[in-house]
Formats: sequence, C-alpha cells, structure tokens
Amino acid sequence: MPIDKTYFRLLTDNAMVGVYIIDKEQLFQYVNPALASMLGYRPEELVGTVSFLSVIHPDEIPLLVSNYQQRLSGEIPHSHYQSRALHKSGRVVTVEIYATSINFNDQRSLAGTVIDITARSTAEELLLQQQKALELLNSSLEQRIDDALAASREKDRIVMQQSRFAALGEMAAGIAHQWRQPLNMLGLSVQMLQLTQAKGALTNEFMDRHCEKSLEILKYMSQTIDDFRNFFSPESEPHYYGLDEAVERVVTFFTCSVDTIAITTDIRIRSTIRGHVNELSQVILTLLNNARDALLERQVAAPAITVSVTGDDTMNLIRVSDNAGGIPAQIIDLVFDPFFSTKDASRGTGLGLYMVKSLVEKSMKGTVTVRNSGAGAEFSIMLPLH
Amino acid sequence: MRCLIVEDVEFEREMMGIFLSDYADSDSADNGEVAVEMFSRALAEGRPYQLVCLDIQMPKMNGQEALKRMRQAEADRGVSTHKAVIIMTTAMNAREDMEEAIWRGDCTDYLVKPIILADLVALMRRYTLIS
Repeated sequence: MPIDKTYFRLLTDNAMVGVYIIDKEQLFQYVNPALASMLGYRPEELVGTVSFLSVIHPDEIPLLVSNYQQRLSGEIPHSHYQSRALHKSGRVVTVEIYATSINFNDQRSLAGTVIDITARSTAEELLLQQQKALELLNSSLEQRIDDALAASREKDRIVMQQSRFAALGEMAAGIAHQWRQPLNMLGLSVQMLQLTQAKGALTNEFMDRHCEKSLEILKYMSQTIDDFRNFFSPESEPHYYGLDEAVERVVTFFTCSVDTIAITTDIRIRSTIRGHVNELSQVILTLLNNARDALLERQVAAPAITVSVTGDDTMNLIRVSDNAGGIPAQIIDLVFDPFFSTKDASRGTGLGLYMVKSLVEKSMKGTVTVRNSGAGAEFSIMLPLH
Repeated sequence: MRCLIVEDVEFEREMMGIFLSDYADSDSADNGEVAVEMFSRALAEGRPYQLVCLDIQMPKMNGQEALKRMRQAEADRGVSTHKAVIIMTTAMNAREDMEEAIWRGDCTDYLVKPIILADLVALMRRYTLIS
C-alpha cells in the first residue's frame, strides 16, 4: 500500500532521532530538527549549502569519506557505526549512525539516522575508567598484601636472626665467663713454672703437680664448650624428656656462673613431656638470666631465685621467681613485646622474653605469664600434658 | 712489706702466695668477710698490710663490699696518707666499674684475669712498694 510522502515527512520531522539525506556532492539535502538541534543548528543552516564533512570531527573524516564512497558506489548497501560529530559550539558529540544508500530526486544519495550517544559513551568511558581503577586497586591490593607479607616475613627473619645472635652472644658470654677463671689458673701455673725454673727451684713434684692441674683445667674448659654447644644447638625431632631433670640441669648449669645468688629448686612432681628440651632450657635460662640481672642491678641484700615445678592431671607448671622487687606496673604488660628492654642497648636486645613467649606458645603450646609476688617478679609457664 | 691475697679459688690463692713470697710476707683469705677482719686486725695491731690483692667475685662478701669496709677501717683509724695499695683482680670485663672505683679513690688499681705477674710487679713498682 503506497504511503503519502507527507506522512514520511511528518514522521522524520518529528522523529526523536536525527535523520539526514546527503547527495553525491556531500551536501545535506535534508536534515531533520532532531539532528540539527543535536549539532546546534537550525535545519535551514545545514540544508543545501553545508558539506556533511564540516560537522564531522577531523579525526573521523577519512573513515567517513571512505564509508560514504563505498555506500554511494553500492559496494556496501548500509553500515552501522559509531563516530564523532562536531557541535556548532565546537563540542564533540559522540554519535551512532545507521546509514544506507537511497535514490533521492533520481540521484543516488545517502540517508541515515543518528543518535547522540555522548552521554552513553561518557558513562561507558566512566565505567571503563572505574573498571580500570578497580583493576588497579585489585592488583595494587595484591601488591600491598604481598608487601605487607614480605615486611612481616622480613621482621620475623630479623627477629629470628637477632635471637640467634642473642643466643650466640649468650653462649660467647657464658664461655667467656666460664673460661676466665681457668684461664687465670693456667696463666698463673705457666708463669710460676717459668719463674721457679729461672730461680733453679723447679722440682719434679712441682712440675708434675702443675702439669696435672693444667690438664684438669684444659679438660674442664673443653667440657664447657660441649655444655654450651649442647645447650644452644637446635634439635630437629621432638622427643620425650623428664621435665624435672631438664629444669634441674638448667639450674645446675646456671648456678655455675653465679655464686652470689641463692638458688632454690622445688620440684614437686616428676613428669615426662614431649618436645625440644633445648627450647625449655633456653626459656628457663632466659628467665634466670633476667632475674640475675635484676638482682645485681638493684643490689638486693640477700639475692634469691626460686624455681619450682608443680602440676596436676592436666598441666605442668614451672615458676621462676626472684626477690628483686618486681617489675614496675607501667611496663609489666610490655615485657613480652619484641625489642622492649629496660637494659641499655649493649646488654639487652629486648628479645629474651619475646623468644620465651614465642617458644612457650608456638612450640610448647603452653602459656607464659608474669606477675609481681611481693618480693619480686614471678614468671609462670603452664605446659599442657601430652 | 705485708700483703694480703683475697681469692676464693684455692689454686690461684696458692700461686699468688708463692709468687708474692719473693716480695712480701703474704697472708691469704678465701672470702671478703675474713679478709676485712684480717685487714682491720692488722691495722689495730699497728702492722697494716701495704698491699691487698682483692678478687671481686667471691662468696659471702664480694670484693667491692670488702673494699668499702677496708677503706672505712682505715678512715676509722685516721689513716689518710699511708693507705694500703688495694689492687682489685677481676674475671669480669667491668672496666668502667673499676675505673670509677679508682676515680673515687676506693681501689688503687686493678688487674683483669688472667693475671700477668709482670703486670702485678709493674703495679707494685708504680705504687713504690718495691723499687
């Protein structure tokens, strides 16, 4: 059924989308009000005189000219694409075009519809940007998590290394302490041999006695190294050991290096536990060393340390207490923190009690607490029964 | 010259005694308490010790406390010019403590163990106990 041209004219003039017809001279033959308004013109400003290229973004002209020619020649019947037009004000208008070739006034021409998609495109652009930002955030989040993990691992590594150094330092200090006395004896012995010989008073008996004594001292010094090595060398596999024996061994070991402090052990139970005996030794030795330092620093009149082992059906309890006056209330909550120390830097690393807590909690699955008990500090190590 | 060796390790006490017997009449004590008693008695009897070799780490009473009491005993007797030469002997590396003690005038000097006997002789010479 043929339709009156005026209906089409009415339709296009009132259409919500832009409609145009361009002739083979590239001039607008028809522009509907919607398209004219989209570009900031009145229809009569464009029709008959204006090349369509003058309302196209310069960057888009090569593509549009090529499209125009292909459609005009009939090479492609129609095309649907996105492009950029220029508003009269110079503003860029992003458009979607559906173009086809028609016969208009017996001439091959192009007709098409245009939608302004600037808003959509801006929204899409924004979405894209946001997606990119989100991706960036995601990737940087991973990076930040990686960084934080790396920093944490690095901190752990430093702490472990420092604790190894601290253990090494303790070992060196322990050996130095244990060796000074025998070194002095050996030194005196050698010097006396020389002096006596120089005086012509060296007897066989004197010589024998000094050699015997020297060998005895050398054996003791060698034993000291073994003791320290056993003490600080790591064990790989956990094994069963007597808690009371282990505690007694540490106390005996510690007592060798302090002769001015009264050390009492009060073992109430005999218990076997599974783990690394050296770790327990290190924990108790650290507590004993701290107690000794506090007692010496505060020049307590009758310095004393008590180590007790008690327990029940569910757990063992080791207590190390001293009479050095206790830990000030304002720092008692901080003593297990890494790098917290009241000693000056040359003597305290601030890692002793941190290692104690780490070993007790992580390796022995126990707890360690501290409180002031009248005369001094009291550390309690609670170890669950296996 | 009279000298007092204060040292808790028997072998060291004995060696120091033998060595110093060439220079002085030497007595010995194995802890600070006994040493202070001997030092005070010698002062009271008017035949004081000119040299005291005093170990720091000892049971009962340590060297620092003994030093304080010896100087107090001298002060009580009004001794000011001919005080005993007291040389602390220590296995510790407490150089600062020692230097502070010298600066305060409590001890005369110190030797870090292992003791080199020639150093002890040099100190005796420095403080004009021997020529």
